[in-house]
Amino acid sequence: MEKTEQEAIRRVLAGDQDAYRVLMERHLPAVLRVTTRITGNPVDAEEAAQEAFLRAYKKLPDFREDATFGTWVYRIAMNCSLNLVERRNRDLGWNAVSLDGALETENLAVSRGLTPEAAVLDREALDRRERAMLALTPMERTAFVLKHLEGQSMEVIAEALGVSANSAKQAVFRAVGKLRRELAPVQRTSSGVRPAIAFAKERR
Amino acid sequence: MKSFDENELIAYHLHELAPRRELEIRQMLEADAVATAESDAIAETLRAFRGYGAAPVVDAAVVERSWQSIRPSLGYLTPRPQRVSWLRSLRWQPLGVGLGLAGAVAGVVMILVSHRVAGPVAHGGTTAETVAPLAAGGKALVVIGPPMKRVVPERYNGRPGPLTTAPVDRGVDEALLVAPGVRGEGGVEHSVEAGELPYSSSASTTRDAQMGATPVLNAASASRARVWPSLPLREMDVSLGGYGMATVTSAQNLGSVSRTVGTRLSVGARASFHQQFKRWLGYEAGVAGTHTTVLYADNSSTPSFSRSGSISSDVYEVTGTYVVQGPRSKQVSSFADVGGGMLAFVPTQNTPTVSSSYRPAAVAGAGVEYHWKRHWGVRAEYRGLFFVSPTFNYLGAAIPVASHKMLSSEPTLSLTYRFGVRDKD
Repeated sequence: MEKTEQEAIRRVLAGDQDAYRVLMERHLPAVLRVTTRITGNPVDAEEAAQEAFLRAYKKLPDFREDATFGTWVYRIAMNCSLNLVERRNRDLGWNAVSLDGALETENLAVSRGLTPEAAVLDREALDRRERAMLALTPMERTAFVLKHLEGQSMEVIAEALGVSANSAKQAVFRAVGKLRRELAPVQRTSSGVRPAIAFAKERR
Repeated sequence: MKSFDENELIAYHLHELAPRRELEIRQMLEADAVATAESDAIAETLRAFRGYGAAPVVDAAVVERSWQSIRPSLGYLTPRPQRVSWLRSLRWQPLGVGLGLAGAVAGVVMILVSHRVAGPVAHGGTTAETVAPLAAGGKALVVIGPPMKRVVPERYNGRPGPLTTAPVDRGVDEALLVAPGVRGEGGVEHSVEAGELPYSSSASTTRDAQMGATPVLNAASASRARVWPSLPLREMDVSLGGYGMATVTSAQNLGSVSRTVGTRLSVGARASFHQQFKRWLGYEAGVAGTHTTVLYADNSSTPSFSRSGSISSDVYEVTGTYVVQGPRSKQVSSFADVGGGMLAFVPTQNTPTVSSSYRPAAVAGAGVEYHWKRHWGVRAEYRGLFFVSPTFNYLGAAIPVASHKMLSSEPTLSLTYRFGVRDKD
């Protein structure tokens, strides 16, 4: 861990609360990236990121310096995001992931400078992916995001989800299977492959 | 070659297979067009999400906004002081610590015992106070304990006068012990004329014989006068043994969800120190350690509401109890205890999502002890612990951690070593 971070942690523990800003500035991008991917919208992402930094601050005395602060707060962020998604799912009045509106368009991966036709197609593809992601449970979504987009190991995912490595693996597999079925019409038209829904679990 | 299913194909694309299995699947895909198509579909799905949720732009405004959001809360969330670090070190050597504590206690006790000032040795049986009421015919039944090892100076016939220093006449003592109606070690019964009382039982045996006190056999009176064998003053012992921890699964109905908390069966080590002042006054201090897994579950008919998880932890227990002794014989004794203590649940996974939980506990138990030697014995005991389940300050959402009232049964078997016992005890 860098000396600047160690110094910042020491100052925070000594009572200098403003020193925590150094840590936040350094690691907010990575934290916000993972919270955005798990929650699926920028508002929840910021909320989860802030909660992660608050929890890290509260538990700072427990932080062991053999790890990096970034990895540590990143893992807390994974938990906070999953927590938030589950809370939103229980709260039926909360529409966590909106499929229309300009806000998401600005914050999600949309190419700039497209022709109007390309932009419509791009938008449609984005909507399909969003719908497919909505078919996943919070755990499946988190496991999939962490594995496929964040490139985390199954051990780290299992720890974040509080399950065994095998359960985490199964969650990822279920997620990919569901996404494949949700996107099946697109795949059929684009590549001519038979619908994924017809996939036999045990082929032989 | 083993066949594969969809999950294995997904694992193949996510590089989650063992190298050998990955090679097998690659070979199968090369030979099977249908499988190849399915594999391509999975690959296409993964590609479609490759750029999903691109990283947001974090500029100075976002940082400032986030900082201003959390800054006011920092004052209320003062970082907690460092946890007691020795608890963390306990994690790795619960048995060693238990043994160490027991050894330290034993050492202290042995030092205390070896430096104790020798005083009058207490009776192993009845005392001079156990004088039966006057019997009919003007005779009194006196129950006398075994001859004292040390003669206490006393007044002649209980009247004012010079203290007698006459030694006990061992020959007369022995004659008395074999006289009719006289019991030996457990207590000597004989009658004396009224008016000669009171006098100290043991030292007066010589005088009784000289004055012609007639020994009588009165079983009923003897039985009434008999008391529990008195304990050596401040009987102490240390014990070291093993115990099992079985917790009753606690369930709570939350409407559509039934939440349960339990633990896996576990075994551990326990060390204790016990001191008994009187039959009804004693205490025990004990430490114990085990490793268990706390199980949490939400059960619901709606699958999305059902979830479960577990947290493995080391459990350390420090207890102090009040002890009373029950019926006992020379070799077997019984006891019951009640008290309280503290449980520390230290998670074995070093992750930021969980941390140690500390819970007060109420303890009650009972047991028996068998002494096959003067100092050594075996103790079997049942202990019940009542506490609130740990939550480990869990930060995640996957495990439905909850605080439930729990009852844990701890049958314990231990080896004990007694201090300060005499041959006759």
